[in-house]
Amino acid sequence: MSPALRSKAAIVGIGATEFSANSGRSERRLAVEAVLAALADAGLEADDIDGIVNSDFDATNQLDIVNALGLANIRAYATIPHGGGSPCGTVAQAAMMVTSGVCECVVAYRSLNERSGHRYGSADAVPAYPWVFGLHAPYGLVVPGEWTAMHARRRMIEFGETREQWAEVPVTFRAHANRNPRAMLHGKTLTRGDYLAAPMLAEPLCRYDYCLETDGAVAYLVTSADRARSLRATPAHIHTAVQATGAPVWYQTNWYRDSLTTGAEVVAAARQLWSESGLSPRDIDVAQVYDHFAPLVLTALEDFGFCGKGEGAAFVGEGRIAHGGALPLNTAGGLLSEGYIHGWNLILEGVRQIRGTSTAQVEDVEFSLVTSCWGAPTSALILSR
Amino acid sequence: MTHTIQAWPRPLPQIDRDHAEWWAGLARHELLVQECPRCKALTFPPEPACPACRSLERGWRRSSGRGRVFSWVVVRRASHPYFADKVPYAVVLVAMDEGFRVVGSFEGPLDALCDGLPVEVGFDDVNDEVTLMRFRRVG
Repeated sequence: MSPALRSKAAIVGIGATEFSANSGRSERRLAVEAVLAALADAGLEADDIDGIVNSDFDATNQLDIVNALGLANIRAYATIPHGGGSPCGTVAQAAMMVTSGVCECVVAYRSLNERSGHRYGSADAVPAYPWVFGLHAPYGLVVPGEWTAMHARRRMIEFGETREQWAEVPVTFRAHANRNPRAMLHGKTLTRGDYLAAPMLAEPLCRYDYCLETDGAVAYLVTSADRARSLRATPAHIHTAVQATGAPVWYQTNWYRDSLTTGAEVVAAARQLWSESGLSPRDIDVAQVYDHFAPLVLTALEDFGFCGKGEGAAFVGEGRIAHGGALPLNTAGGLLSEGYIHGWNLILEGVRQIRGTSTAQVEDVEFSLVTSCWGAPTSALILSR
Repeated sequence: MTHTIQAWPRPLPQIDRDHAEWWAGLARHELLVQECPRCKALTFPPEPACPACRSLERGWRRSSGRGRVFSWVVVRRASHPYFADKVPYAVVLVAMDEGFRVVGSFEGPLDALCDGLPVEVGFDDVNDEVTLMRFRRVG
């Protein structure tokens, strides 16, 4: 996103369904509920919506929203690809649609019955695996946890990291979820002992290293900064939003490029983010870092420049990433403990931190960072007051 | 996570045109890597053009089959029913001596696995089209 677009658009409404293991309703219905909640939050009407953005992998498409809500004013729509890499890219897209003057009010949403329906963490009964998946599925690396373990092992080899150090991430995020009544694991505590005692699934990872699988939907509304001033919610200005692929990229099986512990796509996104924003990691007050797997949070923090390569474990220690710490992370519980709306719920929490409405609110937030998936073509977002 | 579906097929590759020659090499018990005839850059997984010099001309080089373990995963709970009776099993990422990496099964005691372990490729024919790699410790 060009610096010329900086803070010209804002997120002015957010909405979500409950996050559960079984929603009991269709993904269409969930999406529409989230969109209506975002409209109510913003004080806008359905007829104000003139643009729609979503992500690939969604079981619904724009037409489902158009038909359910009778949206007759749509002027532009887009679907941003690459799964968990896409969420912050949808914000960039919505901001471009608004700042170009094509649209006045863009809704973006993600809806999935990912626990009661198709589970991303489960194998599929397919006979043959295409592309690079065919290079590893026949050997028994079939699901994302099994792929990510290869990267996690390499952190142990290169940096001497231990599971005792990794525990800091899921235990801290769970504590944040324990403050957040919306979180799937709001009522369940997690101790370091629980983490270290858990059986290995794909060694060196255990279940607490894995994100949740969730039924639910979220939505947000973007309009111009000018129009945002007349709306009821504190606008979360889209200071900077970037997409980047780096090269080469093979999703969670980035085993064929030079390093398993550096994400070419995240390094590229970070370079763009800091140069286009004019900011640096020191300016960030609170961050929601895509936490599909706990050890990859360390890799992402390094790749975004919060600490040097190999320093991630030390960085997250001593309470730095906890509520009240120097850089609170994933303050709603993240994908590990709040819910897994394929990274989109991190955007909503980033907005809450700007508004001052988080259940683990950081004081006086000026810049709120949200990142999308490490490993996939990715994206990142800085929200500002 | 108990799987009740027993009829799931063994996971196999869907061999596309860009990968076909590589799989044909394995079927002949040869581990190949794409080598650019123009700039000699090695590319794996196979690509339809050379990412280094952008040549569309594609060539192949046969690997010695020797390399070192670069990383590994020990699957303790199978995610796919085919592997349910095979846990625990190890899958290795091997840095081949020529300078590219491949994934294969590991045959040997799990506690022998370490960074840099020297290994050599072996071949398991699955069917007429598909041969898989199995790495064993050498030396």
